[in-house]
Amino acid sequence: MAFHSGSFHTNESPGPGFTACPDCDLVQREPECAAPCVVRCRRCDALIHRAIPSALDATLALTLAAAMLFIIANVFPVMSLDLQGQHVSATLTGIARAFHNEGMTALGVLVYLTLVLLPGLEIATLLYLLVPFRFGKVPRALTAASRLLVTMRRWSMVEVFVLAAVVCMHRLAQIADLEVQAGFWAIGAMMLLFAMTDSIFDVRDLWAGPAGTSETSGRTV
Amino acid sequence: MTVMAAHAGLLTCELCGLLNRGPAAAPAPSSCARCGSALHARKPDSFIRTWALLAAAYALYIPANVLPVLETQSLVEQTTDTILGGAIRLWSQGAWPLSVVIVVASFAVPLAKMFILTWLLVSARLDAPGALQRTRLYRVTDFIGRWSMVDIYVGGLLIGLVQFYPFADVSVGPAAPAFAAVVVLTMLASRAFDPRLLWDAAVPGRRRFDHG
Repeated sequence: MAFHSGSFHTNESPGPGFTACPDCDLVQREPECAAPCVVRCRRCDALIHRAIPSALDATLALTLAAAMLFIIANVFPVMSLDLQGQHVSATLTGIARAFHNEGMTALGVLVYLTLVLLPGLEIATLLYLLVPFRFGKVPRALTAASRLLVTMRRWSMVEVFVLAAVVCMHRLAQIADLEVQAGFWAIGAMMLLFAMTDSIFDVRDLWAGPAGTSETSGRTV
Repeated sequence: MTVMAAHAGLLTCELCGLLNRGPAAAPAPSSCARCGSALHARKPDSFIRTWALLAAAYALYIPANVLPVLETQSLVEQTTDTILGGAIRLWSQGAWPLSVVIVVASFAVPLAKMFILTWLLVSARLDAPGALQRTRLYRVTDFIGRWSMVDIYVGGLLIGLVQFYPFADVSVGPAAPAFAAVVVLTMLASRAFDPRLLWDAAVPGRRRFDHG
């Protein structure tokens, strides 16, 4: 079988090293590249693979930090107001409860899911996957957990909340004394850690074998 | 020559990326040989599911913009604002950066997202050229949808902070759940759409894969 310059012909069978673009389905050879590098589709520029040295270890470190920030973000208020001797503060859970108190429980659930439950579950799932990998083991529910992670990703909206908090500060600053609390800084830092994780972690690395060993099996179908 | 996996009888695993091929002259495998995920040539029922979610989003976009989203009451005045009304009020108070954030995130982005998805669905059927541009458009649409949640969070913070105030009351109007539903439905619609359908059109003598 001969493959010419990364193209693939119908009457041939793709060997190892071939892949199809997730966005345009073009069959192509995954080029060998010296890490760190990013492989993109030849035709539509979609991200196919990220090869970052020790990406899983770095993701684990970032996730552990995010786990601590997650606790701070949920224990401390995001911001508080002082007006005429009254002190009111808002926590993430408090915002969800405020919607519930307004009779809009569905909105409260949506807020709780996107700001508390799913970010927490995302951190927990990453730890479930990456801690065993660090010790050279493959987690038992590898496929189910990775699928959960990929599905959840879009629905945890920490970074959107940071923008919302900034907007809210501007709106309330005119009418009352507003104080930014520890929760806000924790959420802001969590946003940065999630963004860093997003830029190095590739779920496909989980099938390359534990501890970043290069692929020795699989890819033979 | 370019070959798309599904047209060559190959199925890509959406999770682990393995290119799967069944034994010759056998039905295509239904689960990935490496990770066991279910395999699909294209996202199942992509057209009909995207259309359904999109139609629901269009329908709810109307109450989301016609009904009041925020009701503010103080000793001197009571105001109810729609999404655009609130943006206009902020603009007239000189808070134009906030006004722009609201108009973009809450009005323009959901509408643009629905129009783009409609265009993608129609153009994939019409076999229009420019699959590359439309794929890029799809990626942008898929990425920006979440940012429309910003107004819901702002509303939550406002009612959470202001509701216990002695002389002021802020409450969320009936447009808020409708608006949140628009955001969620457009996000689901964009997830249900399969950009590979845009490229199927360019393949001569192609099969349609949108049935499953």
